Amino acid sequence: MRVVIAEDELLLRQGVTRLLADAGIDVVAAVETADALLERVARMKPDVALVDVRMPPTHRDEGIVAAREIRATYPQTGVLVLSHYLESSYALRLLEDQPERCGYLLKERVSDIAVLVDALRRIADGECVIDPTIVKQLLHKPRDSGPLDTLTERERDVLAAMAEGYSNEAIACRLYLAPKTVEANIHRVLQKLDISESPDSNRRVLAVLTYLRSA
Amino acid sequence: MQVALRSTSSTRGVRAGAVVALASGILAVVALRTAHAAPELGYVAWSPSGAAVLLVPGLAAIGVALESLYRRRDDRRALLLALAGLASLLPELSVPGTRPALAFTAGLVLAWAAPPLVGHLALAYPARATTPPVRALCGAGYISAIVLLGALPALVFDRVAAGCADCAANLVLLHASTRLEAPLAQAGIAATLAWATLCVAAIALRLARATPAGRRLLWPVLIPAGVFVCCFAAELALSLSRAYLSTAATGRALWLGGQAALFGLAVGVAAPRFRARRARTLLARDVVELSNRSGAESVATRLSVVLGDQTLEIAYPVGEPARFVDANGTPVDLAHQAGRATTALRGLHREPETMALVRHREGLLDDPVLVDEIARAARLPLTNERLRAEAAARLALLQASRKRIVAAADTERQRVERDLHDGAQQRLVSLAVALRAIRSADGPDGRLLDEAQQELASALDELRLIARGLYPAVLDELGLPAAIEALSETAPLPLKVGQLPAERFDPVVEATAYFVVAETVHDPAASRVAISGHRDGDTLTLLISTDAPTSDLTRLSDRVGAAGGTIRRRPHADDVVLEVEIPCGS
Repeated sequence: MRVVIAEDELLLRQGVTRLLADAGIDVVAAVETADALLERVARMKPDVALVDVRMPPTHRDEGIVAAREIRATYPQTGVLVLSHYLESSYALRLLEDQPERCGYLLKERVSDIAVLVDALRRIADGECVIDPTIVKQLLHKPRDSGPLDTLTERERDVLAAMAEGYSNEAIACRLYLAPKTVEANIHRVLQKLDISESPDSNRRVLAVLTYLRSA
Repeated sequence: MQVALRSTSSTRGVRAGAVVALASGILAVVALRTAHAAPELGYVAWSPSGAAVLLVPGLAAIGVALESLYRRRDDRRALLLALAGLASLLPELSVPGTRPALAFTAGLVLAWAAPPLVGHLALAYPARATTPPVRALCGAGYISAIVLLGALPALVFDRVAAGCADCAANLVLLHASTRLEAPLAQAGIAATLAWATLCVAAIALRLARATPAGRRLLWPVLIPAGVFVCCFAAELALSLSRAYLSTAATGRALWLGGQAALFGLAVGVAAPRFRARRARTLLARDVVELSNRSGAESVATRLSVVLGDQTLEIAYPVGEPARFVDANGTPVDLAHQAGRATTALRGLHREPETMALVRHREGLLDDPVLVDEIARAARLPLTNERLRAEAAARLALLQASRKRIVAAADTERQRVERDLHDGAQQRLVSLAVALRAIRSADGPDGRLLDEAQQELASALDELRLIARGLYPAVLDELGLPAAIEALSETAPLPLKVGQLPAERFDPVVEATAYFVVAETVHDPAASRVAISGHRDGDTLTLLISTDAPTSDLTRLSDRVGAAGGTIRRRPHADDVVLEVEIPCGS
């Protein structure tokens, strides 16, 4: 897998480059600005771009802007955005146009190389990745009683996995369930929450996240 | 120092007035005596109407001038008018039959002093810094009419040779010579005629060049003055061939025209005083009205009605060094604009500092008398309004500084938040990555490293919470609805987010709205909160419904007040609704 890294902090850029290389991932370029990132992506057509949200010149949301541009211009290149912010609105803003091959992870995940590599592979395979902490925060958001309270423990796990962007097969794998059981669970959850079923698991992520945010 | 100067000039005015009054009395008596003694030789017949024609215009001019002098206004212009009034009596003295000799001699020399005085007055009216050409023209008038036309021929005028044995003695006779007298008189007539022509042209030019408003002010004085000089010029033109000014039919008619014009001039000079008195009466009525209705229309509104200028503004000096503000304390731009002028309204002589500046149509307040009257009549409401404007301006400054302090605090929190993310947190993440790298090199036994990594993870979580509480980046980057949405995900209680305006506001407005909601949400007495908001014109209104009715609102009020807003609490079913209004006009 070929990856381009955009991160303005020198130590972190070098560290992540080394860790990914150790894990057998081909880091074809490591740059420090959004402009350089766009240029490398155009030239090298990597599988995934690993992008920091805050980059020069304003250190605001350059990463998200660049990520959306990459997704709009190069459909074959996925984007994994790393952010300090545990904010669902940032994640949703990233995903809303093109949920497939998109990911939003908290920055400290880079220290857990297995998680990072797994996210990169899922994105390269066309999935969408949402940081589990964001999903957990949304699920545990204080709210008046509603349809969410009617879910069983198993159904909540399935809902969380859906929100994190896992496909049906991946959910079956993670929860040690038979694919048929997973499908039945998904069907029940969506019905209870009154979310229309979509064959595309990435669109499903958007629907579930939006539901959790507004419920 | 200024007061001393003023009192000197005032005394001088009164003294000059007394001299003029005395002189006019003497001259009137002498002129009447001449008219009585030699009615066929003078300009008027011996009758009440003749006496009236002779005396009324001059005395009217003197009266108007004395009134001005008494009120200590335009000393120079008033003096010119008074002298012109006196001089108008002198031609009558230059005829045979005048006694005593001093009067006759004065008549000979100064008979034609009135025209240059009137011309001078017309060119310097109302209070105008004269330019060198105008000064030269005025000087030429005095030289030609008094020296060339009056004094020089008088030096050689011999009453016996002239066939007037009956005349009084010529006290300035130097060398009797009929041969010299005629050419001298002719030269004087020619020179004075030239001056009078130029003077009429200058007056006409001044009227033509004036702004419409200025013309309204000038014509009552300039037209009669012009007619007066015209009559004189016509008489000179008729006399050019015969080398003396006649009291015969044509000359008499022109003299009558001059007298009428002089009377018109006196009325014209007095006219602004009547106008001013009218304005003052109106203003005085308004003063009473204003004091009866507190918070009524501003002085500027009343003045604009009284003076008929819709664009009129008043600016008050406040602070040290003075800034100029309107009645509401809002700064006024005093930069020059075409067609607009600024006039200062000053206090009475005991407090001569500027009370207010009036911005008005050009030419509207060219008349210093009117300005004085306005300042006099409106002194009380002006002072009152200036004090209120000063208070309002101070309040505005205070409010602005309060807002700046809050904005500075917000900026500081935002900076610390960024520093935490970009500094400390970034370092910790780098450290975590480095630890991971060491661990993979270290082999399978990395228990201590595992623990270190756990510590790091919790440090990062805590740091994020602190940073977020300081200033949520999402507020700055995505605006109020996104920030409130994010707040609802981390709040310790259910926060129901209703409709919120999606548009972006000033950072102070957004931060104020956000922190008010955050504060309500983190109130330990609350167990549920709902928020909605809308923009209504220049006001952002938030309705925060909470079940914590006893909470102290001081902190919230401080925060909202700093942004110029208000917060009200009213009960609603089991809850209370906080209605927060924040001004958001750009």
